[in-house]
Amino acid sequence: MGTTFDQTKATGDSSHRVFVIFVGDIEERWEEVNVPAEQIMRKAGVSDPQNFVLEALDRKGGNPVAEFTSGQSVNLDAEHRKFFRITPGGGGRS
Amino acid sequence: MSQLEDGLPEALRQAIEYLRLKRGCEVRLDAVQDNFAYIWVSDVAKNGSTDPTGGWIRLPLAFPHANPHGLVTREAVKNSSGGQVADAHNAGHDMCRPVGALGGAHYYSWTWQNCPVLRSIEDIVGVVQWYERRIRNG
Repeated sequence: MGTTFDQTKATGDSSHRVFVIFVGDIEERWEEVNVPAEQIMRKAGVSDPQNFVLEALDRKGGNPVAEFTSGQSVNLDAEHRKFFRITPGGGGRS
Repeated sequence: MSQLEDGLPEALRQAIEYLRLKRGCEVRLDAVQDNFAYIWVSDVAKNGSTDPTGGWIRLPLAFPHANPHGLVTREAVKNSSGGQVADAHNAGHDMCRPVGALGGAHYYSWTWQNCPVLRSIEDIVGVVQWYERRIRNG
């Protein structure tokens, strides 16, 4: 059982779970276990999520432990899927 | 605020102040050279370690209307696998000189090319996170 599940709230019947996550300081609530990273970023206000990555943190303001591009799915029931941050993608070198 | 910082363009000065507020770590201007400011961020290279190493981010004086370019650190930084970051790593590069007296010795010549357009001073937080990600994956 992941930490996200531990902190979800049951609404109605016991099978109905709501995953409460934080993207920076923004709170989001999801009823699905698997959510596209693109949707999480859009809900946090990013209009062009394809240019960013969603990073899962080990705690609020903590270290990134996983990252998801906009096309990937995030399992909110897994460990360390409570706190996230959005980071620019891309980059080159010279 | 240092005298050096007091002479910065207003937008960059505000960006540094915003970064201090959001990161809650030491952020200071240590040098200006060739239209780039060397901004020390004390926890930029933490990468899962309990012992943050810190580093100088090279931000253009025209930030956010021009792009960041490069990171200088005192020691070679390690990626998430524990190996040394090899991506565009230049030990003892000339770019380290402005902060050489403070220990700057390793230059990572990372460019903002193909990154999202910077729109506001608040984007400085994303810039720091972008450097952390490059360290982690480097």
